[in-house]
Amino acid sequence: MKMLGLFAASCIAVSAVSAQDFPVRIEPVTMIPYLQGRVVVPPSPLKYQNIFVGGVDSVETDMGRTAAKQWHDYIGYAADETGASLGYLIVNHEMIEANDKIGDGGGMTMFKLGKKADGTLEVLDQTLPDGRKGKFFNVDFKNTVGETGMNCGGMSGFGRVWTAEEWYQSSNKGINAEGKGFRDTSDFVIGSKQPSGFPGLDGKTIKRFQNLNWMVEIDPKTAKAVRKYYNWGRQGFEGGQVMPDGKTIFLFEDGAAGRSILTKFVADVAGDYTKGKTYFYKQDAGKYTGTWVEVPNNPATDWDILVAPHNWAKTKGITGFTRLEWGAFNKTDGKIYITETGQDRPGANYKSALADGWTLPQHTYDRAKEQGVAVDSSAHMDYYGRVLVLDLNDNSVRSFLEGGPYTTDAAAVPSRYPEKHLSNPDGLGFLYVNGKTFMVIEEDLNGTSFGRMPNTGMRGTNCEAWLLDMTKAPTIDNLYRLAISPYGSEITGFASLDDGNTVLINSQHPDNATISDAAAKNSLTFAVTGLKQLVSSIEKDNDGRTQGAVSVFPNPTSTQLNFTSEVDAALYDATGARVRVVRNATTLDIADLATGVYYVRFTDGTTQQVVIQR
Amino acid sequence: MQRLGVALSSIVVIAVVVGALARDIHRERKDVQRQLIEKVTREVERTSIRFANVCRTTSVGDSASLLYASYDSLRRAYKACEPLIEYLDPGTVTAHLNGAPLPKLDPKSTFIDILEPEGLQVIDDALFESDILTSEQIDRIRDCADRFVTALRMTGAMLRQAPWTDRMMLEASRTGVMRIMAMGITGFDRPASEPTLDDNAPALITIREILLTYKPWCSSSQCGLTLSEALAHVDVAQGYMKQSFEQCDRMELIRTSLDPLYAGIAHLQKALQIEFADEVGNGLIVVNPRGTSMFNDEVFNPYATTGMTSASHTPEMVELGRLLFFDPVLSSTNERACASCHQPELAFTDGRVKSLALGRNSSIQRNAPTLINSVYARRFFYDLRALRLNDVVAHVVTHEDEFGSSLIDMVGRLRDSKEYVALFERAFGVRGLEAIDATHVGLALGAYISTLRSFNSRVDRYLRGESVQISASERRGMNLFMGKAACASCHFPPTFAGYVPPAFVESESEILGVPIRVDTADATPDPDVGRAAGIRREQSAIYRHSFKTPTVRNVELTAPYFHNGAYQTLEQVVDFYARGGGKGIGWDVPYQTLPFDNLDLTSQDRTDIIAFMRALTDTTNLTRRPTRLPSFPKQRSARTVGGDY
Repeated sequence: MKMLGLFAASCIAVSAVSAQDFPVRIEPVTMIPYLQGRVVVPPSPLKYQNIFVGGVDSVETDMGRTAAKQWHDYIGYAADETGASLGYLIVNHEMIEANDKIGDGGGMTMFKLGKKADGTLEVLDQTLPDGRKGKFFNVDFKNTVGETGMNCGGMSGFGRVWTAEEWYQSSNKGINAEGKGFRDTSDFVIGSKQPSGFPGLDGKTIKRFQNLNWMVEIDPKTAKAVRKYYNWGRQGFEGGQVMPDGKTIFLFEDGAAGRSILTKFVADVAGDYTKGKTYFYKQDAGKYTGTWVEVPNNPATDWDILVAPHNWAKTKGITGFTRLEWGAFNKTDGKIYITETGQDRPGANYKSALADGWTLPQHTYDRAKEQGVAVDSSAHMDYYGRVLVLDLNDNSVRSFLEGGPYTTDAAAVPSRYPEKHLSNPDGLGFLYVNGKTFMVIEEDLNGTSFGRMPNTGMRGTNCEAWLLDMTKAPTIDNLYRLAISPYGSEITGFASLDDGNTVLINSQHPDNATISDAAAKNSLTFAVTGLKQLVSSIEKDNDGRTQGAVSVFPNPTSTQLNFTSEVDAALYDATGARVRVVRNATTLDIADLATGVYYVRFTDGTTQQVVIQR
Repeated sequence: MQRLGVALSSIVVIAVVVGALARDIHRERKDVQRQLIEKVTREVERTSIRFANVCRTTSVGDSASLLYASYDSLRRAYKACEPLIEYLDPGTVTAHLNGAPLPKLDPKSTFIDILEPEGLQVIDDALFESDILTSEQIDRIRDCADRFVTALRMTGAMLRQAPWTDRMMLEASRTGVMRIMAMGITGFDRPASEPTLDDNAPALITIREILLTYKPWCSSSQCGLTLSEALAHVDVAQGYMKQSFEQCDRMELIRTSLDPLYAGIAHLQKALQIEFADEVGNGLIVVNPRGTSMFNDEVFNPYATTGMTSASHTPEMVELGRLLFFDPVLSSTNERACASCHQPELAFTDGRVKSLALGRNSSIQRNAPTLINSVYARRFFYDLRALRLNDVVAHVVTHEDEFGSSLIDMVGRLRDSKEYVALFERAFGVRGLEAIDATHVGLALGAYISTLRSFNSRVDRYLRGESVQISASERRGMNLFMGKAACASCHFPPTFAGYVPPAFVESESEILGVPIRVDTADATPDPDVGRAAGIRREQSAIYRHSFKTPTVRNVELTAPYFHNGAYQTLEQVVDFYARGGGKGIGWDVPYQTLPFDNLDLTSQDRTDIIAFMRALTDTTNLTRRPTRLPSFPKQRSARTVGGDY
């Protein structure tokens, strides 16, 4: 009798709201006849492990121990050739700070990673040749090549690591930042601390700010800077790529829109990058192909060009991109991929760049044409940015994957927005797992307008890391979400180690954090392991998707439920209270929900039991 | 068991029948909503192109009034879209469509790139700059119009292609109501032309049409009543929009129509059991989708800037934060606490021109601001240099004139107290000395500060329909504050601070041109550059002498005023604004954000505005000091609650 009462009540509840698909509460007992299956969501195979927390972990300096700097960006990686450990990791600090012990400006932190028997990672104790003992070490710039600032991107290869100094400065007043940045703004003498590697330059006196914005090589094992590459030019470098030939290097500048340079350097002898030729990319007018224009690069005689290469570049009609970020070589197809982050309204910058003699790449003209505006119009927009591809066979640069979601061409809208979207790509890398190649793209949003943060009633920014299977069409719909960073933060850095099963990623400057996790409130380097399983499950997901009746399947890859087709669905907890509703979705995020029994209900009234384990 | 089977099958039958009927209802509603979106979108696209074309036909020497008619149709068409677009993408609105006509910085450029403002308000400024069009003016108007057209092309794509759901349609309607209340009726949209309330009529029409699409679904009498009440509130509001900008009684407008409408839409959403924004994911919620008034404590999510949730924000953490707030152990000399300069009895200020520095011999750089409702800010300090509430303490602890200490030393001092260790252990679930670290100190203080919220002034209570007394002077004062005197175009309701509606994700700062002391004839500009010396990426001329817009709630208790504490009385403050700030007293203030024309306020006007501001006082339940502080073994045992000075 009591049960009947319950049923009657639930009937009334249904009719009173005239067929609400997902009433706020369902009586658990009414679910029984509709139960079609039981789905268990097992713990994710991806293991997240915090490795290095800025401001919390201490670094060993030549003047003792102090708190590490924050704002983690690029992660350099040098494998341990002895095989005794995973290798040396070096994290960039994209900041400017007066710091008595570490040195003013930005900096880098080095540590050595090992793997325990249970597969977890550990930061190993080390004693460096200069006597420093501990786990984390600041890279010594102040006693070697002179300080660096805003260490953002970088590159690694052949066991060597370089850091880039993106923040392009043009005065000592600028780098002093009212005493909060570089306090010492006296002239700098090249080679005064250690030989610069360019004998003709040693002893040369330059303005302090002129010693910033070079690519700087550091020794990952001793945590000391090696040299600044004065022969590559002084630019707002964001990233670089050392090619497998040991001779060629590509460099990517995050400068002004319409004035960001794509640089190539070819060494005379493999491994010695102090001698060789420097080139800037110039695209052929009206085409995607281009040529490499040689830049006079003898540091002693061509100093005036190298210290201000943009002044030289504009006289040669060099191609100015719209803020290049990172680039990465895909060893599977032999091409270089480069992120171009974009700028909301680049027209005014283009106008002045064109007037100065720069040229703009063809894909920039294509975009303007699509918008029906002149390329230098103040109405020209570039909200989402893109990934470019540089084909070394014909030196062409084309757009590979345009950011989105919205476009004036309705047919080009990602069908799975807001689930899938990509804006202002920044970090880039390749992952080779299970014989397949995946592009890893990290967002760094330039703003929230025009759907860059998908609105579902929430605000704030967060950035995401995406995977793209390179055998699939480069579309936003084909992106697979690897991670979301905490609100307000930026996902940066990417180092793949351990045969691709482990990646290290940074979460920079979070705005907000969950209370229980101190690591989430600071810049954080974390490791994600289990990529091999993840990748096989992505393939399974895609293969398993059918057109028939909807079923829920546990995703072995992350804390979410997957549906076999796009559905509206609601999740109810064990008491029958509605806790989550999704529409037009193929996944339901349950990462923040407690473990236990839940029920998924679809619009046809069917219900399935789901068990969340963790 | 058999009866159970019968019952079950009957449910199935009912569910199937009801389900089939419902499909039609739902499909029909979706269609009508899609048509509505298409209609308002096409109209704003059409009118913007027409306006841009008309702009092209004008020449130097023409009267600007030739453009007024097409400008007016564009405005009306935009306003019909406003609830949808303000909800869907407030970033697009502020950057491109209808933001304040002030330059901003490109947040991501590696240079300090100034972004010129765009949108209707810039057009308004340019159009009404001079009646006889100059060549510069024409260029500006054409440029603005072209930018608007391209921005709108993308906006149109967004409006049409967005995955609109019932939840989003109703939440957009509520956003529209908030926008009307907080900006639409204050003249915010028309920096140069004559504001009218009628501007809001198209937005109300759209809201009405959205609500009407739910009529077929509202079969039960209770749901039907909820809907018809909401529709009636729209009609009442629409009636007010016919009144004159100066004469309209905004208190009654809000109390009798806008606020009940805001609640009514949420009631409808609840009655139809449509999900709310907090059910679709674990994203950051700033405006509470279930709030039942724009003037009560539930209007916002108070944890949005703290990284906490209502679950993680425990009483233990708040109590710990309160102890830390009043404990001078955070300072190097054991003499000064947060409460030294933020005294609860003065609404968390100290009554001084500028706060006393550590050592008593000098003062710190600026006046102590109130902490009440500071949790709703997105940036902190007068120069907006701190991005998180939890970070504020680090600035204070390490400043040589404030606590003169370091985070490591502060943590070391706290760890000397077994009682503190136990309190941190309990609050953060971490064992041992490790429980105390700088992050946890910041979080505990943030937890306490997030409880310092005030939405119970007489004005709040009256606006949400309670029976409290409001004097004629206060009523007139609110009308002036939110109308002719233009106070609310920077001190936005409901916080009456610089938190920008309707998304509340931005804290504004303003350049006013405040002098070094109260003076008009022979005044000296204050040398403090404010935000331009805040964070590195904002060291730009557009932020020189720019300071965070504080709340006017509790101003009765927070004298003296402005970042430099130069103004002792509210009369002096109102006089400064009435004259038009620094420019109004004859200085060249580059990028002054305050309108510099004389507001032409009578002495009665001034009295009334001040009466209204005094009616915003409320510190109920916020002033409790701890009776004792945690004990320490050594010399630190003798400490004064709230500090020695």
